[in-house]
Amino acid sequence: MLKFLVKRILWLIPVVLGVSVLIFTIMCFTPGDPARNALGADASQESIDEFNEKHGLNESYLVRLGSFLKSTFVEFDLGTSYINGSSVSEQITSRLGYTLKITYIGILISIVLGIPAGIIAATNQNTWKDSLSMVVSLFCASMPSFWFALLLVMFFALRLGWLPTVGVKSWTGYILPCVSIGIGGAAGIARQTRSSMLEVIRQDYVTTAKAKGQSHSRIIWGHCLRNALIPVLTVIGSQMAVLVGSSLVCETIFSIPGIGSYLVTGVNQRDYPVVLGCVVILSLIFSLTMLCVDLMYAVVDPRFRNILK
Amino acid sequence: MSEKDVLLSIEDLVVEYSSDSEIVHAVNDVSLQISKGQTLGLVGETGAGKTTIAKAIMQILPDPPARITGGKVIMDGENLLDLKEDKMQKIRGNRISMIFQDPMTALNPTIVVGKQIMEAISLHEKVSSREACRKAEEMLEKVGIPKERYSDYPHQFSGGMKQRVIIAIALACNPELLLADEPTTALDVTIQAQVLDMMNELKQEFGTSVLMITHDLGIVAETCDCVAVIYAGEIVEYGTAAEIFDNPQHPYTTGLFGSLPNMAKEGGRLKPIDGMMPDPTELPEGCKFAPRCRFATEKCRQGRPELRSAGGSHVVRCMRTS
Amino acid sequence: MQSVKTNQSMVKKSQFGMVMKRLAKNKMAIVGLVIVIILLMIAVLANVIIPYDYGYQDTSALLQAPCAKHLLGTDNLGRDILSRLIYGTRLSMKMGILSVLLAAALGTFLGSIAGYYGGIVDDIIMRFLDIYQSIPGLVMCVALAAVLGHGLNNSILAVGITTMSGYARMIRGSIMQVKGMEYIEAAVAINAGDRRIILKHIMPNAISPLIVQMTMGIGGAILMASTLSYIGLGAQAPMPEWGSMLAGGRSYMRDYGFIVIFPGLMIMICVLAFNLLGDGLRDALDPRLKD
Repeated sequence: MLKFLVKRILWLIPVVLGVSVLIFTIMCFTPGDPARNALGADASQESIDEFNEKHGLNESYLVRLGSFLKSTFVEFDLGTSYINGSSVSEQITSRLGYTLKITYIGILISIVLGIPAGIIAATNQNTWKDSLSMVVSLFCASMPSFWFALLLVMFFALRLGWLPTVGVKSWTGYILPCVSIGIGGAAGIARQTRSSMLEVIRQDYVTTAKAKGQSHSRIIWGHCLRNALIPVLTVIGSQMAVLVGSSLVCETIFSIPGIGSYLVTGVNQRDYPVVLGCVVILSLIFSLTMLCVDLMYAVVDPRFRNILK
Repeated sequence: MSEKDVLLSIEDLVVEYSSDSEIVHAVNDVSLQISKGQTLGLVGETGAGKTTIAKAIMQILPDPPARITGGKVIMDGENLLDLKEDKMQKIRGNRISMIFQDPMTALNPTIVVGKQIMEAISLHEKVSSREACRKAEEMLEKVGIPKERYSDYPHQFSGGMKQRVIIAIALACNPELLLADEPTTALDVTIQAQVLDMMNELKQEFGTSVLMITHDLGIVAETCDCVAVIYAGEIVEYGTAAEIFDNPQHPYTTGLFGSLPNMAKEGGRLKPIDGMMPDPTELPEGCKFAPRCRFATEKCRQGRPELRSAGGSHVVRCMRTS
Repeated sequence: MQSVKTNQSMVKKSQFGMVMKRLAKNKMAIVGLVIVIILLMIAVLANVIIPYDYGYQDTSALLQAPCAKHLLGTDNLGRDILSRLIYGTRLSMKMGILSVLLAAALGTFLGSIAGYYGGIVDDIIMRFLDIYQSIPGLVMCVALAAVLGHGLNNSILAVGITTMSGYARMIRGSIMQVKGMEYIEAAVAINAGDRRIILKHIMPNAISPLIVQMTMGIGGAILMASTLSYIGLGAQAPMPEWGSMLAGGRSYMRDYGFIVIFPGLMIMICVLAFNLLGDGLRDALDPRLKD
């Protein structure tokens, strides 16, 4: 178990390195002149040269990659913004908390809504409860999260005035953003929970439990759920990727000073160090979550533990 | 046999499986009696309805598609089919329990085996969880598994060991009736003998009646007091083991014996029964075995033969028995 | 040889018939199919059926609520929302379909190399995909759109490249599965070339899961592309892309809710239809997977 944990954590290193190299390379080889972007179209040649010199843009790709990796992973410095010269690392540190809160509360909402909905649907197969939860989750899964966010704002903030439209000054500010990014995940999780629950209910060991004289509800909760959760974990992982993505737009809509909105600003200004830094950090958040999901496999499924030994 | 000795009696049981378009007649008017302390063998091909009968007694058939559409299952003067689900839960695993065919899939992979045994005990006996746990360990020892393995998961056991665990679960509450559904089919031949011996010992110890479902006549000869031969959801022949083995009357039963390899007779060819079981969605009108029967006449194809006595407790469903 | 071939094609055909039969039985899939066909027709006929030009500004009717003249109202510049939605269908369909084709092509290329050659090539490609998929889809897509620049075509590229990895994994998986089968070994035994084996023997088996994934992928691609436009990276004004219509209408949603309701509804219907159709196709192609 410990060996697996160490191995799995060590695997994060090549992943984060790989992500950095990949994104750096993409940024490096795509056409576009960062200097002109930063300084404006009518900047003088001198100031452009000075800009390129300052940010080391005249060097070859490999030299730039080397110095980028060194500063990122040895000095933990993600460089400075092309646009306003502020430190990207500092910005990200101050913004990290918001993004973590939003995405993790979001995935929590997905799980808390999705799993019970799936169980209700599966245990009431082919009844109105089943149809209702499946139709609702079908719609939720197809809905753009930013549109749902707008609808929520329109109704709960503008129409009813219950919740703030923007900002996270108090905990009420988190409700709409987290719900809006969590709902899609809830739909996906509900669908997977239903189908794996139905699969598990048909298994022989459920008949064994029934033959012992166990009651229906105890069979569902005690015998089926844990086995049904194994494939659901995979979906939770993939939904986390979607959720981190949705957080970009969500933070923009609700003016939350997180990494997502920082990335969107950076992208719109073609501020490459900002984009690079944000992508690396968001990927790291996602990879850490996937690590947790893998550990959850070991908790839920004893066979998985055995493989790891 | 006298009324008093009868533990469980099945009367005219009918079970159907229905899908969108067709109805499968899995069990048709089956009547059986199981006496106290006795082992009754239920013999027949795959798909003859043996497992369905056992699951109908326990009322653990998957509904839908399966439905018990007629008959009674009487135990202590009570029709189990009329019992409410919560009453039935008190009987399952306690007074009647079942051993399943495939040990590989019959245990929950995410629960330690000891707990799966303990679950049955704490469901039916008013004992503390510590006491239940101790009893579960005792059961493990009884089926030949060291109690240290209480906290192991099913995937850490071999097939034979898993079947022992399943037997431990079934016998945990000292049931009056044990339904053993092909308990050794999925096991290696060497393990089969061990498991059967163990079951016999435990049966002696607890005085349990057994319904032994199998297609293996060797197992029947070894373990059963009485035998019911079932074909296409019907009992075609019933008698004591001696009556059936010494004097098989129904062509299907003789066919079953004919398809057994016999070490004693040298050079004799095996005689398989020609043809296939009839499609249970459209069973033949008269005798269900007529299409495969060497002796079938026009009479067989028209009317359904009744069970007729062939001396003693021996009954046969064949036109040729008079 | 000839007779074997015809035999095979007959098997294929009857399989296709079975799939269609099963699909026709699935009501949800049919609903999806019908909506997809309607959307495609709207996309093709957009020029003909729009009541107004999508850029036409009726300055006498700014922010008009739905009425007889403007069935779904007008936006802040007096543009007819219905016309813009109709034209937007064309854009979304184009983005969805083209980016999925791109993703499938890239993915198939990478996946078949990995699956067919195996060994170290496979290892390298798979590790690359692991890293690739450690970047959440939309984050990757936004970063790509940032370097590629604004515009409809660039967002197609960005979405296509981002979603490529799923196809690569799937194709690799089905090739691995087929590769172990005897008839491939037989083909190798008669010395058929690599390319021939891939194209003639392996691809046909990978095609049905590919179709399912592409169908479902179109919905996801439309969703992603509209998100890009919403952020301001995709199609640019005055193009009536649904995402950018939402972004444009945001400031007015307090009093004119219809401005943001309808474009989002269109995205949802569109994604829903492709998902339903994809689910139905999956169940029809592989009935074992159905509950």
